[in-house]
Amino acid sequence: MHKIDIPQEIIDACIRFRGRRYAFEHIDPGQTALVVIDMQNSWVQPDFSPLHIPETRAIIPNINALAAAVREAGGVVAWTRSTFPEGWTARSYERFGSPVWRDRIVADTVPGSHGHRIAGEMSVHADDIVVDKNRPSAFVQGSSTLEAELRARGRDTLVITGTLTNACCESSARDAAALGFLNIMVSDAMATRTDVEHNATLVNVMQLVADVRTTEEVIALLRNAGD
Amino acid sequence: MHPIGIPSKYVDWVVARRGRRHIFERIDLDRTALLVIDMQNGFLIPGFSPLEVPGLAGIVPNINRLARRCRESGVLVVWTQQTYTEEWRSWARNFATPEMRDRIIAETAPGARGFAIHESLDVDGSDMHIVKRRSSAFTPGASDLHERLQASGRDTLIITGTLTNVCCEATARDAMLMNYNTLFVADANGARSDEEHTATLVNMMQFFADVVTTEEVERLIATSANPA
Repeated sequence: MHKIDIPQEIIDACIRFRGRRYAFEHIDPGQTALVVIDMQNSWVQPDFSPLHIPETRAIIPNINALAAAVREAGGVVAWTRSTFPEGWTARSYERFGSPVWRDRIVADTVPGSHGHRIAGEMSVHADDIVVDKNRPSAFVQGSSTLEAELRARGRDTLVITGTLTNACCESSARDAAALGFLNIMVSDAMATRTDVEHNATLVNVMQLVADVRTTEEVIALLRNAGD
Repeated sequence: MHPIGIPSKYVDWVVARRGRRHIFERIDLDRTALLVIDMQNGFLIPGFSPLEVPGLAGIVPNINRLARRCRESGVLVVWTQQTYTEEWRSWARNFATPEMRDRIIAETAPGARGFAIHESLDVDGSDMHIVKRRSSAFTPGASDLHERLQASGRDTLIITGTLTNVCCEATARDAMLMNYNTLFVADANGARSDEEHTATLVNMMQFFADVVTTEEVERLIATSANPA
């Protein structure tokens, strides 16, 4: 689990702007969706892909606990699966990695493949939303059907979890905020390579994009929603 | 100006993955735009607005240098200006007190002092101007930047301005995902702290953009102007 370290001056700046620590002190489970980003075999299973993020192992129980609490409170659970489509990846990642690395990440996320599947440890239910996305952000133009699926179910509040904190989770949260969604990012239910990157995302998002909460806090918000 | 303090392990990772530090060895100048994000009075004038980014004036000389060199070389220069409105519901309702929200909306309304590009920036009559209503210029409805860049045949962006980790990073992330070749200028972006600035450079370098200095952009333009 990442060690959370948010500088006090960032928290103070948030309080100065909005008069309180958290943007959202209540949530409406009937309008809420838990969004679980890319907890697929490629990122979660050790010794399978160069995409693997070791810290994903530690967040599995928290994501499953959130999924159970969200369903129980009347929310929906949405899982994304990342793919690296050949055309975009070859062009946009042309120089970000060696050709061998690029071919490998394309192969490891081909729809239907082992690497593309949500990890077996995740408790996916039959009535959950599962969408494929073809960019790191689920919400950038043309990436996925997630926005349409959420709107169709009347969801405007997103609880964001998964991996990588500073790549797919942060890009999705930033775009979601711009599209008008209310976001909570869960500090102990996201994972990336280093604590530094993880904390940098939390600092970025808490100022304009999302509240940062723990699993326990989100579950309490869901349970107290009727009060 | 922020010191450029990217921890060496991140540089080592990208070098291990791609065999080199930088991404672009040449760019097509006729297809490139310099993006200057939100260098407006609200962020620049000391003591004027809660939006102020202290020390931001330090990057102005680099932006002016790049803008001049870009115009000489056929690179389009684009200035964005942020305007906050009620229409950005999630921000307006939740991320600012009513007083703070009303003040920022008033200060960044088109025509207001906080909206105008700061007078220290060398804007030219041939440059493009974009009004944006979200952090990223590219999220749907934020601005017409994408359409106008497409119309102008630009597929490569050099990103400068403020705040490094808010509007610049959000715009750079979306740009890369929308197929733009993206360069991010370390000493021509400004944030409220060195930590936030550096964290953005780490994200950019690994996933979204070639992180370069002003001097490296100048060299890249010189190299690109000569036939291969």
